[in-house]
Amino acid sequence: MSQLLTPKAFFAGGLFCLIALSTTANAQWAVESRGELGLETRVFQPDDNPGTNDQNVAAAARLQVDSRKGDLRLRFRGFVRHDQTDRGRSAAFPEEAWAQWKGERFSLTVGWDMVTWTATEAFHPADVVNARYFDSNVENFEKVGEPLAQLRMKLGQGNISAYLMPYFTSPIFPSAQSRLSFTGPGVSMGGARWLTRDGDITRDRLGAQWAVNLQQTVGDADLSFHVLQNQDRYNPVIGIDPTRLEVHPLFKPVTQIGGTYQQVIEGLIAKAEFAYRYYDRSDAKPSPTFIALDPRQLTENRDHGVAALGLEYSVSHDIGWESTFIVEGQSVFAEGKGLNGNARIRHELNIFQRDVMGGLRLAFQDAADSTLLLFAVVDLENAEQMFGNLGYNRRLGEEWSLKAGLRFFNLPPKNPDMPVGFERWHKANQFTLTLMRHF
Amino acid sequence: MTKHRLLRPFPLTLSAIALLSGVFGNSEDANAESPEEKGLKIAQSLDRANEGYASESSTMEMTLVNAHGDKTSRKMKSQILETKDDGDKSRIEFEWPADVKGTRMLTWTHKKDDDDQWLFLPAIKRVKRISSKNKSGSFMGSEFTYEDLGSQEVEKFKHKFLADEMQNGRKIWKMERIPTAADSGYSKQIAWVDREYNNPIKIEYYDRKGELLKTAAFSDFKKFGKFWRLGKLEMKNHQTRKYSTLVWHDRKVGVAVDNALFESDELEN
Repeated sequence: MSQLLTPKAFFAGGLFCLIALSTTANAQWAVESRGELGLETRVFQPDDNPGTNDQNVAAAARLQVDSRKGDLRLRFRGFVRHDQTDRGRSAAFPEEAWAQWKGERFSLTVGWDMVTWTATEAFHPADVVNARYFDSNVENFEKVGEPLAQLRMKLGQGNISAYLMPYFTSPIFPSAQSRLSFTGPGVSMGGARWLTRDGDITRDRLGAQWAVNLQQTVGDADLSFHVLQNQDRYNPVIGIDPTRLEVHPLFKPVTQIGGTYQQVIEGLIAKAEFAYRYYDRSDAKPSPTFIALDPRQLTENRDHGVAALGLEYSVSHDIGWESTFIVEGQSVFAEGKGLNGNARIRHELNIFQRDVMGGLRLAFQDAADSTLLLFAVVDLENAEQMFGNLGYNRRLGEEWSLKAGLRFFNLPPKNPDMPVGFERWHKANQFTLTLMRHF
Repeated sequence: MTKHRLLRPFPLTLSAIALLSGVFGNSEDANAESPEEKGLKIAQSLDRANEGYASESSTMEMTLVNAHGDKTSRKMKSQILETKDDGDKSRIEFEWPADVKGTRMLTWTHKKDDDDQWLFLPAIKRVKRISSKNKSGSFMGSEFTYEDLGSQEVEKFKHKFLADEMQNGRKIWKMERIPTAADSGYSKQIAWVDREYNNPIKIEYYDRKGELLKTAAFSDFKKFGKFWRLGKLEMKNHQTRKYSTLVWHDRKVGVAVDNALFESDELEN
């Protein structure tokens, strides 16, 4: 598994699981488990490129074990995917592997965890603590567990949490053969490089990252605000190691302030997320092992804000079906003249730099929980750029489920000879079918 | 107040009839009242009679049966917390089918306003606020709607006393309830309330066109302290010929529960 993320972390998580399980010998520990085993198939519209895989067949599994005794809790939740047709797509990582003490007002959690700071369905500018597995759904990339310590205190109608994150967790990039690759056919994304606040480029994954998050319920509204200082895993600088002729992502230090909002107003659910990111001003020192393909990404002011707004409304039909309509929009505000700032930088910062999403979730309200999901995301500044999804899922009996989906991407590159980032997903239209056994 | 009955279904707002003899004596004494006044008094007294249960927990098994007789099951755990000045709070954790295991729903009911509801989705570890406005949606694909299982505050209905009846040797009050919410799935409900159990033994639900839609039958009552609770509920849909049953196990009334569990930010714990 070439993409095996931080093997030590994963196996430490596994060890944690074993310890948790071993505690079951003591009958005072209450143990619960759940998980799923899936067979996944994915077929792309052929691109006539022998260097890419137009079909994927994979087995995937997720296991969660919870153990509890008094004020103490242990959890392990890990994910494994083995792709038979593209070994580079195979991955295994802990999503959660933590120990927690929970008192009346305080709780302390130590281990790998998923932090969710989101309110909207498609755009998630505030929800950036965890690294992502980029060979999954673009509107909801799967999260990789982040090693952290969290101290939480009840406060009013909510809580305040402080986080320490001492380890830089890299995203998992699509393989060189993947149709969803960011680097192009045959070019692997090498290991992560990290820009320190002193301007050094390093492979050292240890460093200080922290966050504080305040969460409150006020009447019909749920609000949260945060300050986060970490390595930005969403806007990597792509560069080359000239000593090995390898491509690597470089992640920069960033300070983010942001928040989320959800409120029910007469059956309508209003949602919002925002974030403003300040990048460290230190110039990157020259490195013999990393040369940025576009040096401006290291020298330009790339501070920016992102705001997402959404509305959701559900109606029941006389035949028993329920429709949920979702409308969301997101805009990036970069530094530069006027509110829009530098358009080029905005486009480089986010695939959803000024986009709207319209969606419909149709629940048939039957015993199989059959649901149809249809949505499309359109770039308001370039209507040619859009992607969409038609999905159907249902339960088969009480332990199996089936998911089928059609997804299309129309992201024509500005420079056809040199597509960048998500432009490489242009025409990576795909049909997916997943059969899953839940336990 | 005892109004929130999500999964402690139905009868709490119609449920204090054991004390009604002290309030109304017998129905003849109240003849001077209009049916509406008497219906409201009964509903209010039932409500008061169920005050003081403090909290409740149980596990539940729901069976869905379609028109061909095919069965599927759902399992869940429920905890309810009584509050003093507003509707009650409830927390439900779904245990079966396996794909929804770990999903949790928190409801804060209110006397007049719409309930507050949150859903915890374990797959993405997210607490999502949801709207309680869509009352006529099916609960987990069953014949029960959120309206059936949700808040039954006295203030959310217009009540009308219809008749005194005897059924199987038991004294029954026949009542009419008309939902005040414009978005209710029902035009009216007819309830047969057992005076000893402080609960309905049957409710007929009429759709927005006035046609009989469903009938709920309540049975297997047990007494917990001074409170009667049903053990089985069956809902038949006359229009689709489907039916669903809900059976309670391990019910505990008045046990201590952690109040913090009923906060939205605690749903993931």
